[in-house]
Amino acid sequence: MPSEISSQSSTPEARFSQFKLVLLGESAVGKSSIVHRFVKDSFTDLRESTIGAAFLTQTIQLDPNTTVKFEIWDTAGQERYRSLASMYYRNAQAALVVFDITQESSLEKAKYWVKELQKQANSNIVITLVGNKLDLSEERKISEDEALAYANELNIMYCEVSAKSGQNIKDCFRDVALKLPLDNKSNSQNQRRNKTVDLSKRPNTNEQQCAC
Amino acid sequence: MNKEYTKVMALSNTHIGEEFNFIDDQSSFSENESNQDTKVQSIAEKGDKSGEEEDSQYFDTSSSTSKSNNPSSGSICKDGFKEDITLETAGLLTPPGLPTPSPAVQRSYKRQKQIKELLDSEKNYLESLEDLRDVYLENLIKSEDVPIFINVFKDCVDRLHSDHVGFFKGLLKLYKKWLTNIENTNNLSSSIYSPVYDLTKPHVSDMANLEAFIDWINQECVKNEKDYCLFCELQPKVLEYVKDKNIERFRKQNVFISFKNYYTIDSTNSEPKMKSNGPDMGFLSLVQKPTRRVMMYEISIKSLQSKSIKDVDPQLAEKLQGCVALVVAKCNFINDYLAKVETSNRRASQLNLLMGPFMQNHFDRYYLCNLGSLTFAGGFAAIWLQESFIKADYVGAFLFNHHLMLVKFHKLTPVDVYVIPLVSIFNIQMDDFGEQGVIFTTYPFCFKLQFEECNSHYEVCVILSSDEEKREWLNILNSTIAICRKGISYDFEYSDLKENVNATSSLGCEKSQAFNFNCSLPDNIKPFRNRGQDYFSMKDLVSFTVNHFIGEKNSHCSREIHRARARLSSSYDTQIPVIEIKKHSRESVERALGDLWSKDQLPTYMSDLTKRLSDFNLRKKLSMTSISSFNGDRDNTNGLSRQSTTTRQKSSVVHSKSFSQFDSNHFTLNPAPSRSTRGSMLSAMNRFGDSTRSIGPYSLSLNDNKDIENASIISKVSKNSTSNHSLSASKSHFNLRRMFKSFTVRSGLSQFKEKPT
Repeated sequence: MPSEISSQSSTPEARFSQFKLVLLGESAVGKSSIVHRFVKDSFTDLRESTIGAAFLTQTIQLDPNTTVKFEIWDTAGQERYRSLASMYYRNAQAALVVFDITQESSLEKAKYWVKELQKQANSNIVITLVGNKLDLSEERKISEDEALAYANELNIMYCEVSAKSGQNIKDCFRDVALKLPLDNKSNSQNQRRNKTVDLSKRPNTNEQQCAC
Repeated sequence: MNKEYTKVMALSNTHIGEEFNFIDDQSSFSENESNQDTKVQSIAEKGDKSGEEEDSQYFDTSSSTSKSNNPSSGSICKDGFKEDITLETAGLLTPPGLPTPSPAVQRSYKRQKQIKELLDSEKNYLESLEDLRDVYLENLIKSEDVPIFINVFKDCVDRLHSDHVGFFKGLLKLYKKWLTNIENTNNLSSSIYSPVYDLTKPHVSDMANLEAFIDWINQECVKNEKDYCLFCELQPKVLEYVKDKNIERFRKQNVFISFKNYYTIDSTNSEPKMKSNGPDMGFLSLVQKPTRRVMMYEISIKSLQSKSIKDVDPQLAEKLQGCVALVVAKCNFINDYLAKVETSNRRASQLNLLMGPFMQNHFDRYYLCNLGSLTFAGGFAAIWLQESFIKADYVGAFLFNHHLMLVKFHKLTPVDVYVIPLVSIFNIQMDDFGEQGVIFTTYPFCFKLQFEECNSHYEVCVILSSDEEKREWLNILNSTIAICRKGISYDFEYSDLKENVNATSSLGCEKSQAFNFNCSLPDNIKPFRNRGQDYFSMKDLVSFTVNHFIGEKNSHCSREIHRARARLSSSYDTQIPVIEIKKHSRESVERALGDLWSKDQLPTYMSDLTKRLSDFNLRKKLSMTSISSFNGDRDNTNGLSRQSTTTRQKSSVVHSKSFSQFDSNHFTLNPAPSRSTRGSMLSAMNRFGDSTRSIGPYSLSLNDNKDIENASIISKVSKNSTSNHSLSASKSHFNLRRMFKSFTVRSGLSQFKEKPT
């Protein structure tokens, strides 16, 4: 039995939330490596371009009562197809915009993706700028201060990680999870549970209006 | 020569069944039986392990695993995942001491493995499409009254599924053939256990099999990109629609899906056991997959190309390159289409803001939604026959894929909506009015839409401002109608089709097809021909002339406009109505449509208005006299005679009275009608040898911002009165109203008559 089901059934106060998270960034900055380190705790230097998988999932336990499940959609070359890519991140609740701290151009691309997300994605999307390849800090071309200043300017989170060593990977996802609206979900569940029907209340006829 | 090593790579939960059943939901549990036929001989070197491990995990189906959590520490336990690795890569380990296969053999194996990955992910993709269609969309459609695009979306998913089933079956067949070739060869000559087995060269059939795969991918991969375009177009609308519908309840209600969602049976061990498969079956996940899948082929084929480039001959290399290019072209096609759709969606939102409340109050709540994408929008004067008189309105015109919607506005608010199905328009008459139909005019920039409804033929005359505008409308209408009327040939076939569709729609016929016949016509619109009747007689002919405004954008057409008006008026003098189209009628429609107006194709006349509005503050400071002068100067652009403001204000009432005078002042015009001035257009009428029936001496002034009566017939013009210039404006107006009270065109307020299918 999956953990989220058992936790829900054993402890009524347990909170479980599922979020769609997308990774964006220039090619070869290590997006897939970050995902694999997080989901499978593995790393290979010779990873090929992402093929096949639609998405991966990983569950993390924030505290004994709070479980967050990430549905992680890794990009696979669709950055070139702008309109298609926008469909892919439009419904995401969280996004990791990854750049390579040893490649200046990758930060520029990351800035582009942040702008795109802010323009096209959900207004309440949690964006995190992620500087990867921290293990190559001696070859660093982008200082932490520079990236942090940019992140602060846009009021987004920033973290530096190494998919190779695994440094900060879990912390990064944990920070994202903490930033996500977990309470809303549990509140809405509680509301549903406690919902009563007021027979005197007139039905809202607008509920069935076409949303298109 | 080397010692060889072989192991059967267990395909675990991603292996491919011998008889993959796409319909039977129990297919996931047939893996045990199919396992015998899906052995893959794998040869790999030690160093390949990590790569294999990584790749093999990246299958669509089962790679998403969330295992038991440690609540106290929050760390991730990966035991379950490691078990998967063991199962899937057990056969890839080369025993110590064995020689390493050559790079060519390794590449051959990788190619084979990539084809297998393509197959595995394709199989999973097919299951996703099935679940999306069967679990969510079908149940959603059954559970409530949904807009048509949901049905269209489901049909699109169905077509995608059907295409991919064909693609998958072909791939599977080729893959099995590949395996069979290898096994047969091994059995005959060099078993992989044999010491003579060659690890230095790929199998002899390797390239031939690769070529067969490339050919198949070329032929069948993303077979119909238009379906993907449609899917991607509708996907955001579907997501928006289901947002508050609790669509996940269908998954929870479906016992099998709930079960399948979390478990697959791992039959690779001696004792089959349940294995968590990760819950990926949410609606959002399923509906997202096709948008991603289409791009995966490019990467997959490129990857195959990179593994093959050193081994293939130039011809096959070219074929591979062509295959990549084809898939890229298809992705680009879809992407470009979506870029257009984004613009279209913005227009749809604007249209919803403009028309939504009215349509929901007067039509079905999904009517506007069901009309689909707006392809073209503009405005024109529409004239049609109503009992014994003609009706004229300046309307906003919205062209959809299957309908033309005409909207009458009053101060930016829609007051009347008429909908003509494009499939019913059997003729667009561009010239020689009167040849077919009863409405006749010599105004050059117009055409007649002749359409069919309930075994009767109707016509609407479209009056435009210039030749360019006419051509734009004709181009877009002709091309769209041609698509809609494909296959309709004989007279009144549309009516027969509509009856059939109406009859079968209750039996579950497609709603979208029935909606394409949906029509809403003005009250009392009069047909010019009924089924079984001959064409009209000359006595039924109704002629009119048009006094169209002339602005900056159509000033080059002023000569034709005046000439046409003069020609007919001189022929019939006072016996014909004059339809006066004022500039502000056009401007108000342009203002109502705003950004919806197809500005790239159609001219706009609102610039003067904008200028006028921007000068509002300035004008407030001016005296009334100054304002009058301002208006007088501006109106000069309309080609009207320079008159004093006072005279001009009066002329809004007596304009038609002074029509002949106006013409004689500006154009040479014979006062007495002569055949030579009637022109060739009238020859058609003369052929009937009867006098043209004219509806009377009226001028129709189209002004939707004024009182309705004022917007209709405003003056009487008779043979005698044309010379009576002393007739005061007010008197003329009064007489007109009194004499033709019962004959007044009821402009704008007539109730539309909906004829639901």
